[in-house]
This record gives sequence, structure tokens and C-alpha cells, in this order.
Amino acid sequence: MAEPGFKWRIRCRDADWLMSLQRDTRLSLGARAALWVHLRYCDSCRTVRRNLELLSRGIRRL
Amino acid sequence: MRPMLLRLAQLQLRNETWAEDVVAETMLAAFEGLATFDRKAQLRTWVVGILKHKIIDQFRRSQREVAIDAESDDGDETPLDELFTAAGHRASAPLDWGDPEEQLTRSQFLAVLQACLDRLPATLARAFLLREWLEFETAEVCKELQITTTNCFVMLYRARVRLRECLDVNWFGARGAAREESDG
Repeated sequence: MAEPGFKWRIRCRDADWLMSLQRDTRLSLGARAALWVHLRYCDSCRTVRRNLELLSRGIRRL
Repeated sequence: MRPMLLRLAQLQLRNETWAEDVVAETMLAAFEGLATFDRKAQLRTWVVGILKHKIIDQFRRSQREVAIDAESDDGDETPLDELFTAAGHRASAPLDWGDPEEQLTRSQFLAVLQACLDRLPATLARAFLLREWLEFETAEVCKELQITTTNCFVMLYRARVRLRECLDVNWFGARGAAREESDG
């Protein structure tokens, strides 16, 4: 699994991977742009992003 | 405090003897350092901070004894394919976990989170906890585990997917079901 090449419309499957990757490394400009666009119109992926944030914060409270 | 420390050590080290050792060392260090402990700080946070250092030391010692067979994790059957349709859409809408501030104040939430971490395969849990609990840089995680960067990213992704699913079912799903029942 690598960053999908630059394209404006990525699928939830790519967005899911990129949202995880983003927590571990700096994404390329193209990937960041594609993810940004995707999150503008995808409620489900925005929910997943919030959940991931809560997961991280929960771990740090352990 | 000891059972809590032991659970945390066990999560990362996955070895009872090492966990016991690390907790004993932590208690001793905490006891010795108590005079320097800043009363304004939280005792729990301070002791967990000591524990984290002791875990990292133990982790590095044990790394030499046990080669972590990270490659075997390629056989990890995290069902990524079931999450998405062939067209790359989500097979089902993710559950909204609600307000983070509210969730984080619930001790049950952290208990369920620990149970979910317990269920992760050891290699995934190790990578994930190094990254998110011990707050290692990703490069350091890969180096500690002696795996390639790509493999490292994939393991962290799989760990997150599994934890999301586990929390969906065991915490947020259970609450959702309870809410529906009380509404009905």
C-alpha cells in the first residue's frame, strides 16, 4: 500500500489509508489535496477521522 | 496502582515476567524519587511516565533475546477487503463515536480500549503502542521493530482498523443498542 497517485477524486478506501498514514508521516502535497477534497464531501470519512482522533487521545490517557 | 501498571506493561511487553519486573522497577524508582515529585503534578501521570521509560528499557533488552517475527504479520488477516466494496466505497457507514471530551471522561471507555488492545495480535499492538502510547517517531518504531517503513505504516494502519472495529462493536455499538432499547 502506497500513497495513491495524484487524482482529485479518491475513494473511501484510499482516504481510510491516507488518514492513518497522515498520523505517522507527512503526506505528499497531492495526497493531502486529494484527502482534503474527499473529506469536504464525505461524511463517513469525516466520522472516521474524528474517531481516529478520539482513539489517539484515549491511548494517551492510558 | 500496581494492577493498573501491570496491565499497561503487559499490553506492550506481552510477557508476564517482564511486566512484573518492569512494574517492580517502576515502584522502586517512584518510591526513591517521591521526594522530588512535584505535588502539583498528578501522581498517576508521573508514575506512568516512569513506567514508560522502564518499558522502553525492557523492550530494548528483550529485543535482543527475541527476534520479532514481523514478517509473519503479512499473514495477518485483518479483513481490510470486507470494509470496502469493490468500487472502494465503505461497506457500511462508520458509527459516530460522539463527543471526545465526554467519552474520555468515562473510565469504562478506557477499560474497553484496553480490552481491545489486548485482543490485537502482539506485533500490531507493539507497533501501535510504541507509536501512540510511548509516542515514538514512526522512523524509531520501524527501527525498534526492525521492519521496513512500508511494513511499519501498514501495521499501524491495520492496528487502527482493528481497534476501530473493536470499539465500534464493544463500546459504541453496545451503547447504541442500549439507547435504542430504552427509546423503544
